[in-house]
Amino acid sequence: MSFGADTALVTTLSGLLIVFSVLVLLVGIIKLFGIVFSGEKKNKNKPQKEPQQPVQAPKAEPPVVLASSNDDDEIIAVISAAVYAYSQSENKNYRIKSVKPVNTTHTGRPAWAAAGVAQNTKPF
Amino acid sequence: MSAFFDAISDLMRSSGIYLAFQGDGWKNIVMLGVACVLIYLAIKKEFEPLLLLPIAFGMLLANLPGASLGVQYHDIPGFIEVLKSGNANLMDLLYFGVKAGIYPPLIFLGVGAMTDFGPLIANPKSFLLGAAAQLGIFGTFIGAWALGFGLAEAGSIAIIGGADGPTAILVASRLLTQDSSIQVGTIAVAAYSYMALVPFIQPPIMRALTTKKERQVKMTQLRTVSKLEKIVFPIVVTLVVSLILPSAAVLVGMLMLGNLFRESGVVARLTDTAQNALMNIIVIFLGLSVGATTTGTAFLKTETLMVVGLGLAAFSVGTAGGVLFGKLMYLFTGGKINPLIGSAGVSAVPMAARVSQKVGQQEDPSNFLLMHAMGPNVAGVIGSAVAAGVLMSMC
Repeated sequence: MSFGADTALVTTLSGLLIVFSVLVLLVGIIKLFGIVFSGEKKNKNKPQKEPQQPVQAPKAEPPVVLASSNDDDEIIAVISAAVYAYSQSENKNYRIKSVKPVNTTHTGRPAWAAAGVAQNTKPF
Repeated sequence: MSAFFDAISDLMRSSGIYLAFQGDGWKNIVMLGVACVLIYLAIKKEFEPLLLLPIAFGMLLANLPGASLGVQYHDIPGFIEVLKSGNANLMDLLYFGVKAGIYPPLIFLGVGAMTDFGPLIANPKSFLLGAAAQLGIFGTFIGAWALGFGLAEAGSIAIIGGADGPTAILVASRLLTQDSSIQVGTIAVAAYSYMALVPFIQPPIMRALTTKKERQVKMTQLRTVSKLEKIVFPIVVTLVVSLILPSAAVLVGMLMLGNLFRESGVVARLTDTAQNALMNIIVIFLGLSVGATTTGTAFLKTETLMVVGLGLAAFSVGTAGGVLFGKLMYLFTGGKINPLIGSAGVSAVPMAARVSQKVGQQEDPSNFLLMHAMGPNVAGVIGSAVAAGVLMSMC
């Protein structure tokens, strides 16, 4: 019925060794194709960055004044785009005088990303 | 007139109430009580209700005196005998899917279709935490040996530490035979009960093994993973694991097939069926028939208590293994890894990852560990499938 201490030890040690070696092998392989794929991605990203600059140019059309001590480029870009779209439909011109953050706690990530993470993890 | 009384007394003798007081009938009554407690836990406390409810009701049906709804065999030749005798009941037929190893891999297909391996691909080091948490399996193996269990029983009890229901059921159904002192149902009930208790078992161990500073570590955002990587991943993992350990191929292969359905993006209908309809049907068959193996005579033994004790040890050692390895990684990376994600290496997806997230947020509400913990969590599924392969080939 029961079995010897040597069988118990051999099964335990060889079992742990196999589990670790298979997963270590997978770490190596996944790292490798991480390098291969992210290398490819970097090359793809470079030409994408260039046409991004002319996109920012029409932003100069509406008179936008950015006056805030705690500027967050992403947020200001989104707000000015929204204001611009709105002013086009109303045929009026609006000026953004300042964008101020509302008592946000510092999370170490951009506010939009933090909001996204908070929303996604809320059910948990 | 006497014929009438004979008929009535025959009817009385075949009634469940009469049979309950004959021989081992009291054991059935005790099991009916246990079944009701499990049903209560599933409905009121929502302890893994999707599986615990069918398991508990299967237990209730199997222990109805005189109804003969328990599973009557423990291996394939036994199944053939029961079929030949013409007395096979519904549970016997459904349980064949467990004994022949059909249901657990199909559940893995659905799990694969629901799992996003992105966090693991973005941070492959998580694989190590998934491996470290398997310490629970092998630690328990030693424990089971020390308590005098046989090789097959020890392997079946140890796999509870993998925190993965289908894997535990597959291993137990392959290893245990007619002569074993425990049955698949005992392993399944212990495994699912502890999986439901993960949020209570893990946090104290996690807190005891880490310092406040370690728990407050904020990890850098994971890189984005391309679609191509996500498609190549299941194919590579299947090949690597199956070539090294063919006995794990059935679990890992089905898990990865489900994942390939999902990531390929071209078979939305199959993905939907795998993770919803098929999965739900299999869960009902599996839960009900596994529950039906827990007849009073098979379940009410001192061995069952030992399995319950060892199961708790398995979960605790697994959690500790993951957290301690997380601490090691914390040291080696100069404090970039939060050791709390290590405990998620015991599979229990996604509960163990949620526990990491919760314990992390108790120290620092602005810390989001969930995605980082999902890496070790899904690595744990692969890790326990590999460990299952080891146990099935060695025990």
